[in-house]
Amino acid sequence: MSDATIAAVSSPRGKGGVAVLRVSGPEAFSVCERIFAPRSKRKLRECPLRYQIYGDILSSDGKSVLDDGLATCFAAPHSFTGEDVVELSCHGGEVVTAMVLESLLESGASLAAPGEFSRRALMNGKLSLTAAEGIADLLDAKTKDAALLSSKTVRGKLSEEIGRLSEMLLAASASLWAYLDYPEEDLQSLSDEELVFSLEAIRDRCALLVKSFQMGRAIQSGISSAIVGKPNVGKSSFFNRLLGEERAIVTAIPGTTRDVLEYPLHVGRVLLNLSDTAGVRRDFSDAVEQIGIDRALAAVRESELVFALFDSSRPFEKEDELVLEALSSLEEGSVVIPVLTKKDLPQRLELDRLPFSPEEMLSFEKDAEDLSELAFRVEKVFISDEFALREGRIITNVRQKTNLSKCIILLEEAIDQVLTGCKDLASLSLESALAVLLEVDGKSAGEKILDEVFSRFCIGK
Amino acid sequence: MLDQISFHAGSCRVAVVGAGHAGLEAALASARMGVDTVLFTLSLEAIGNMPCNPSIGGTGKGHLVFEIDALGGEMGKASDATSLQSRMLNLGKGPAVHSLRHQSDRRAYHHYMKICCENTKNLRLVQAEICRINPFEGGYRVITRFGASYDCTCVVVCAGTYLKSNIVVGDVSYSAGPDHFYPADYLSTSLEKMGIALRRFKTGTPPRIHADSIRYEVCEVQEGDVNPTPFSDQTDGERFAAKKQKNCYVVYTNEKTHEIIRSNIHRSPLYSGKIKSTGPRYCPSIEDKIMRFPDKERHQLFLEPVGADTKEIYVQGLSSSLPEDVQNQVIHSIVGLENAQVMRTAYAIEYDCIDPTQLRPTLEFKDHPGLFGAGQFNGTSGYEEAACQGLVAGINAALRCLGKGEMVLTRQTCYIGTLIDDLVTKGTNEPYRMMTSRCEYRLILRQDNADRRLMEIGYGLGLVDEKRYAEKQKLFAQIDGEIARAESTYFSPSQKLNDLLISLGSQSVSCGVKLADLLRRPGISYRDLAPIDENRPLLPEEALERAEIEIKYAGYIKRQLQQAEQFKKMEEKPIPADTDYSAIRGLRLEAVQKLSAIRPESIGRASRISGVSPADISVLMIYLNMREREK
Repeated sequence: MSDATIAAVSSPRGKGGVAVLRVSGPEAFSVCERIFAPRSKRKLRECPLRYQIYGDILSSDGKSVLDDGLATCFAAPHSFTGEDVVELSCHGGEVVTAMVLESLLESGASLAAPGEFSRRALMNGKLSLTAAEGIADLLDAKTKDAALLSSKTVRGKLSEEIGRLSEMLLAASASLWAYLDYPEEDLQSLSDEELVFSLEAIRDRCALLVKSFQMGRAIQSGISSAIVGKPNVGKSSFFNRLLGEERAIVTAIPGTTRDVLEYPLHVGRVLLNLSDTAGVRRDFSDAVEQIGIDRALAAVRESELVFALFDSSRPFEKEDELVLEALSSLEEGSVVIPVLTKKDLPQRLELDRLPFSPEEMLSFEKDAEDLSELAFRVEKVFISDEFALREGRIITNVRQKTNLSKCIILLEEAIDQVLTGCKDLASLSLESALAVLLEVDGKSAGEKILDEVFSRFCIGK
Repeated sequence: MLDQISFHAGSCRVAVVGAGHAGLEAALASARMGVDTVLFTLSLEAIGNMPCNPSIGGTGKGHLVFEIDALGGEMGKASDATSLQSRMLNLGKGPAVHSLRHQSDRRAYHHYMKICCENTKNLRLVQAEICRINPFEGGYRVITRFGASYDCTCVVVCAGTYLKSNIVVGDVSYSAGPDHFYPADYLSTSLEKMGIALRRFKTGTPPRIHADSIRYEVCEVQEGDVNPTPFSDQTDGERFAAKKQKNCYVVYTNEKTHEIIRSNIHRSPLYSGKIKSTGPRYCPSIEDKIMRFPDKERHQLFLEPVGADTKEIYVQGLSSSLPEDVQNQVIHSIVGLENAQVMRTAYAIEYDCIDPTQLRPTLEFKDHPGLFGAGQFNGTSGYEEAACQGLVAGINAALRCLGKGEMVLTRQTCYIGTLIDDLVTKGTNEPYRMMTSRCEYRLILRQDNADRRLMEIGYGLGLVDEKRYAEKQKLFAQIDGEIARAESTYFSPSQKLNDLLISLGSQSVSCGVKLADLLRRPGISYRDLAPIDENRPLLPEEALERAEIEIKYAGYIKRQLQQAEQFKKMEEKPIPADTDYSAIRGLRLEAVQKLSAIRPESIGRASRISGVSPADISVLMIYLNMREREK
């Protein structure tokens, strides 16, 4: 509807080898330049059009590499939408894809509404008449899908929470509006302190919801996880035990697991996307294995949950040192669960060489029947708010998270504006905050605040 | 009576029906644009009447008056000339919501406007009731109660609350216009015959009491501002400020008052079902307030002077249609009004008006080119709301006569545009009142910059003269120059600067700092920085104040301007008037019905109609694109 630059994941939801993210609009090139560094060191803009450019996909601050992938540039009007378009292909994990999308959004793109690429294509005359006539059905179908999807998940309860928050915000906004539009009446509107208090309460509850995003993913789409440990520590046994079937090849020969395999599996109620990684060691027997190890290290670095395996039957070795090094390079917020393997053999590992307390260490035996201790530990980390989960107050998609984060920022602005006496600005911030909050649930503000003013305050002048 | 033979009494280009606040602005604008105009009024005594509150402006309404003035309307000047008290509301809450209000001398206002009309070239003032409007030779023929017929090109209907109006007090009701003037009982039928849909709204007015019967010693005083502000730059500010101001007073209802109302509520026509029409939520009668907000211990009442030399006092907040004996008990229960002598009884009034979605943004009827509606007739409330519509309708009627392009004011340029857009795209279920909160672009649509937003238009129409326009250009240049200076003036960190900052409760600086950035700090004003800002040029106070607002709010203003720009693009995508919505595949039935009824003029307007979804808008846009390409 506008000429903002929009972005969205264009490939189907779920795991695939490759995911495609599409960015369209006047700023498409500059947004992508911020987060895509071609390996050729050329600027994206200077690369040939409609060729696939290989490079690194970066976080919005440019500090970390999220993935490597391909970028294809299309200049207006020769693109799907008729605008400048960049298509980014990255590896198809949901987590990676979501991170790339977040990076795009943080770099200036806004999230595309359902059907918006098609709409723009139509507006710019890029689709045929037949396609045009079908668009209404298409858009309707999308809405229905969304409805279907939401009924399957826990949206009902989330709706309730959003409903409660918007009522609180509505009340606060109405009070401010009444105060501004009816300055001479003793309306018993909220004092500045009360207003700020109430806005802070809403902000904090929004923040809890944003936090629940991780929990939402833990249940809906999976937490990226990896297993790390020196060769022959028992990674594949551990992996297979988690998976419950023989997917990886379990042998005693170090370096058999050459490539990174990733499988969705449940540990307790938490869904993990588990990478099985190759052994970590210094001497490489061949180039193929070198690649496998690089990938393994990358998989570890990008994981939110890492199982660090240590062989209880062997003394501490330099390869264990490497494992600890890899762990120290993890992103902030990532979780490490240390696991001791081969407990059935006599213990020769010096536990004091490990930076973990004995209580933190889990034990794992090859034929272990009971994983409840492990499940308990994983759940404890990722299902942090049992109550919220039972209540269903969790968010599961990036759009909801984006909106709630925006709402928090607007509330912060409003609080600041109330405190500095800029009530006119505050009223506008609250209007926007309410709009983004209601949007989480697909509703629009309309005349809601005004109706609230009149039902809440006796106004007569 | 309507069948009687009429005689040809004359012709004109624009006929304005009604000389209230809408009709006056319509007729004056049209005549000033050089178009032969006749202004009909039921009574010459009713010109510019204020049958309700004796004041002009207020929140949102003040913005309208500034905008009317910038476009070359009369209301601001008239209010300045007849003001009894001036108050700038909402000071300290941010410049976007500053709102000026004047208490007015209603008699003087009426007189000012009557003389103004009499002295305006191309304008004839005629006392007559217009009973019929008939389409005639591409224009219209308006016919008076006495059978005089006038042929004209355009008609602007500004019938106020006069159409089939009915006054209600308790059990008593009778046909009468506001202030018991004669009602207009015939025009409704004529309009209905043309296919115009009418409906019934209700409003009310409080009692007037004698000033000498008030115990002022127990009332709270509400004085005017120390520095009274005029609405118009054409008013001599110094002389205006020198005028002696009258006080208003505040009294309160109490539990006794509420008990009287509760025990007599069965005698209220509102609650007995006698009045069925819709009243405004923001201006409820006292009985409504008591019944709807039972927990509220007291309600504020304002005592406002009606004129400089009259003793009549308006009791703001005590609007009612209770029987007179109950009204008297209510008044006498109020501390300070125990002995009040009632001069005019409060009453409710019901009247015919139109559903404004029948209008285009020019305020012309979609189905009747050349026929315009403005004011309370369009379903609004308030003098200012009426006046600004009158101005827009009058200008467009004149433009039509002159064969020139029409004037449409948009949401992102002014409150007037917001008001009209709300009316013609969303409609209204109650008498519509302007409020700052209705205006999403309120940060850029402030009172202080109304001239900058609109005077160009007024100048282009010939409603703003050369001299005034040139003076404004000079002022704008001073403002811009000062903003530029503030953005390019740097102060190095000095003891003097830091002492000043600390004394203002602000953080000290350790490296060079821009004047504009200091101004953006909360709690620091332009005046505060005078000691360190040694090269400050000598500028009029107004230029400084306005530069300060622009600098302080620059970031937010920029953001809103971008939003407004986006909005404009949607607004500029026109929908042809002959669009057959039922033939568009993919539109939902509800959307087809709403769009067919309202027939929005642009995609932007269509998107604001309730019941039209974003998917419908997509379909519509596709259809329009296809249609365009087929051509």
